[in-house]
Amino acid sequence: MRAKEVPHKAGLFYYFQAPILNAMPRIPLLFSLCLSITICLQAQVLQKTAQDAYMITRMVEKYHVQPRPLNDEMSAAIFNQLLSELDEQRFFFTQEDINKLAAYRYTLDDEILNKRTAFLQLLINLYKQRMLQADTMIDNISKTAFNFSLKEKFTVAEDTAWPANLTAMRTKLYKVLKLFVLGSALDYAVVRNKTPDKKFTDSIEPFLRKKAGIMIKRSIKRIMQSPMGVDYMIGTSYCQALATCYDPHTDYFPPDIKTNFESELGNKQLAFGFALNEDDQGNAQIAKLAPGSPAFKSGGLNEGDKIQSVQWENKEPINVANAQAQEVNQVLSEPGGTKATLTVKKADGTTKQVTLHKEKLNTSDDEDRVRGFVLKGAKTIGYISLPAFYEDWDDDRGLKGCANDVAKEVIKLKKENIEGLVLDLRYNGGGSMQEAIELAGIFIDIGPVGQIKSRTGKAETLKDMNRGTIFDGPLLLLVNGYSASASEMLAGTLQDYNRALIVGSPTYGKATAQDILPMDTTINIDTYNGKANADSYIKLTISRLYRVNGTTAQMSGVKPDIFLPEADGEGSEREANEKFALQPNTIDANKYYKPYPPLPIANLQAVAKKETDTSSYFKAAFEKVNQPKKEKLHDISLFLDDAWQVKKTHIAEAKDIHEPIQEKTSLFTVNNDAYQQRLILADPGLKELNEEWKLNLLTDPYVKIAFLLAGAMIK
Amino acid sequence: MKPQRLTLLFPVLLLISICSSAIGQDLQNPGDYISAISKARGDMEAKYMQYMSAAAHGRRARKVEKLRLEVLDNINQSKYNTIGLPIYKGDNSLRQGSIDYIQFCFRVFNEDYKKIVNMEELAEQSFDEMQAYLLLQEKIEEKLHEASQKLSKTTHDFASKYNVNLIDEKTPLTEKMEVAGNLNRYINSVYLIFFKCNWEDSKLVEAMNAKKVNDVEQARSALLSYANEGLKGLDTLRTFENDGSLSTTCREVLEFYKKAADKDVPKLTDFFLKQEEWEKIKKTFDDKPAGQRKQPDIDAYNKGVKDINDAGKSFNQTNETLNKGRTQALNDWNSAEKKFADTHMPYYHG
Repeated sequence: MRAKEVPHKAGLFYYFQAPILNAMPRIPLLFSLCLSITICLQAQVLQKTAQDAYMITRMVEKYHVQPRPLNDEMSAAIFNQLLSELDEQRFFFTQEDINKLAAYRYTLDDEILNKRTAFLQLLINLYKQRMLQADTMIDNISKTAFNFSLKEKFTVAEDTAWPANLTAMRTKLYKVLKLFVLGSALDYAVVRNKTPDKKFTDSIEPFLRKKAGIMIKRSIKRIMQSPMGVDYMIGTSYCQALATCYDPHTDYFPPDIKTNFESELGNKQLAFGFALNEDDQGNAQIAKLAPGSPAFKSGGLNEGDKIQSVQWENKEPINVANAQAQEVNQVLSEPGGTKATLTVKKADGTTKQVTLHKEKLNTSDDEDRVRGFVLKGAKTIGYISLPAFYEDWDDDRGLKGCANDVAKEVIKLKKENIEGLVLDLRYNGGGSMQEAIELAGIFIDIGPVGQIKSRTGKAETLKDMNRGTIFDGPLLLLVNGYSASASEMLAGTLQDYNRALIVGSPTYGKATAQDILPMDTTINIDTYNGKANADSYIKLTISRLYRVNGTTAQMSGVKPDIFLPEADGEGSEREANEKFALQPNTIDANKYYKPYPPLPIANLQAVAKKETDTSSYFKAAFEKVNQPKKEKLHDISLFLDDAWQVKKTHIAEAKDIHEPIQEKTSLFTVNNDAYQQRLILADPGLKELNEEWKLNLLTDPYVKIAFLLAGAMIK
Repeated sequence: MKPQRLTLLFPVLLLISICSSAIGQDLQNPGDYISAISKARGDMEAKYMQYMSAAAHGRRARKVEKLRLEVLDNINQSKYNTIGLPIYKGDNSLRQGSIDYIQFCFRVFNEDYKKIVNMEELAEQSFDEMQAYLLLQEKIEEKLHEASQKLSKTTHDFASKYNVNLIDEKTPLTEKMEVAGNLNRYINSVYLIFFKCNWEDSKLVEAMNAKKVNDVEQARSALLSYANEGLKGLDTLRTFENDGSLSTTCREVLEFYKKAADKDVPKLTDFFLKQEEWEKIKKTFDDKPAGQRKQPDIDAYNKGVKDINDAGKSFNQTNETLNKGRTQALNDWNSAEKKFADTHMPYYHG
């Protein structure tokens, strides 16, 4: 099962160099050759895109658990999805462009099935043109100071619609930039405890205007100078939009995106081998070099270096000076980007250029893996955090898989005489289904743990084939709206068996399984080993998952036995909010599973209520649950006085809202097991992170309540 | 260890001894007809007893296998003999009932189980080979019982319909088969106690060889609970004809498994954890350039070396002891079982 989603890549652009042709008439032959190569390459990219899009439909038809018909309705869905991907904020395309593109709104199904490229060609040309124009418009807008005494408004209509024409597009960009500068100026005023009068805004406006302009231009440049070119990026988005319209977890992967997706499931990652953080000014800097990585071996990089620019092979440099870490990471993870020259500023102020080639690196960073602690108070409770259901990609035995890691952690904690155990699955987006099955086996004896059903086959029982358990004591699972897929499967199983108390908020609601397949309709999905090399892949939803009782967590998620609200009250995005999510259904219950005796849920709910009634954190979180939902969008004033009034109102309202505040508990202390203690002694570098973990656990209100509940479960 | 004993369940249930008081071979006479049907099953029971006797008394494997094939031939021959008999005055119930029974016996003896039980349903119910074996055994036993009951009822119904008085008659063969049946039942009940532990121990060894702590620990806990459960079961098990030797050996074997699971295997698991810890310590040390290493780093590394060496030594010693103990336990069991069968199985040469 592949549960994690890769982030979508937004925005594409291609820098077209043909106009130089007229400037160099003496060597027309060479240039015409270059031009023909460019056109030829572009045609190849488009043909490959058309071929891949066609193959997606074939693959879906053959293997998808519930293939949606590719018809006019689907065509419109792909159309909308793609435009939203390319121009989410609707400021690069104009309504005139959309009208031209709309000729294909209901015929993309024919385009795809006949491998035609006319739509793609039109889309790419328009996009390139508009991006270049936007870049120039931003330069021009940024030249003049913004006047906040004008009674201008950025209307909802402007915000949510495509600008009618190029003039309207310029106006929209102007207002977006102005809004950014005004909003930032007001934030500065609040932080510095000043009134944002004209004098104040005038003093800060040039700096903020420049910053805003650079930020948007950087995102354009990231696209313009992307390693594989704009055609390739738009082609990828086109295929991804098509895949996503079948269901939210079907996706299209070029090879490097596939590799990095798999790295979230424990496989090696394609990377340069350095991590970024931010300095006091919020600018990205190198935080850590991974030993043995290209960055480490280059010898040219050090911790604290600030990356000034990134230049992909045969492209122009992208300025990332003073960018945030997230922006730099976005640039560095562009599809197809494997070789880049980085210009860095060293601590002594000198600059240096380093050329790096991405390599497949181990992602055995302990932060991404199982962590265990002993919570000592009135009772001794083990705590294990599992951030993902990663698997062992190098060895079929699964020695480095998360189930084996959890088993080892449980043994270490048992040596510390724990009486109960908390398994924290919050923010665990899933991963390997096999690992989830093996993990369930740690806590239940042999038996069925779930059911899986493909489109054609009958439901198959997923079985824990290992007799015996490793931990028989009271068990509690912490979950929230980000606990998805394999997390939900484990939580559902342990709930159906009455084996664990499920505490937190309802889980995400993804009960489908995916496999990553090469674009090949001849493969046997039952025997495919996942190791074929291909030019492109599809992550395909091949089965639905059901609980042993025949119900599914699809859409609704696993409902906790003890409900605790999330900090923001309403929780995260959920499967149910996804446009193309598969509808839930039920199948027969498995006849052979034998649940343990029921848990005293009512008594435990009373224990939880006592804490949530007195905890300032949960009081505030429950208040948020009951608050009216956010108002709908409204026009935003770009006039300083109005904007300041609105800001003040918001600040006053925020004061009335009690934000959940985390307090340090004295109910228990957080301790390391003997093994971890020895490791920390051998590696003092671990100490800081360890202390951070301990403090987080001490101040985590959900862990506190889990500690109380696990204690109450001990007989 | 894979299950291999299913056919030994067969004999007692094959035993159906119904004789008619009528003498003679007038197939128009219902008593004679019943007798003829019974006789048509010929000497398949005798051949089967011969086979069991040979197997229990240590005859050579080739001889035993030859006898097994002869049993199959005999069952087939019995079927043809019965088919060759006429239908009794338009009433085919007894003849067909006997053919069905013989056919069933052939399938069981030929281990053609898929024709007898719903293997798919069985696979759905079972979560590993051990459970599949136990369930299959249970089902076959149940089906054999049903088949013999069914034939008995058909015969009695036929007799009653035609006013024939049936009496049970014990022959030397049926008496021997009864003893063999009781013996097999007893051995089987002890064997099952042994088998569960032995099977789980094989899983444990498999997991140890794979060095997978999750599997090792789960198998260890299952082995411990089977050993404890088995020891309790042996407490309530009676001796067979005042001979408690098989039960005593089984107890000794289970005591070995119990100690292994409770005391020895945790030492082996600990080594795996120490090994992982050592790998991390070593990586930390190796990642640090030699020039930057300080005395505490070197001390921690040296301590790590000592710990892993000590753990390795303990691992090797424990492993060796366990392996020796396991071999001894299995040898003891095998010879005790063999001796027990040899002692109590009636001799029969046909």
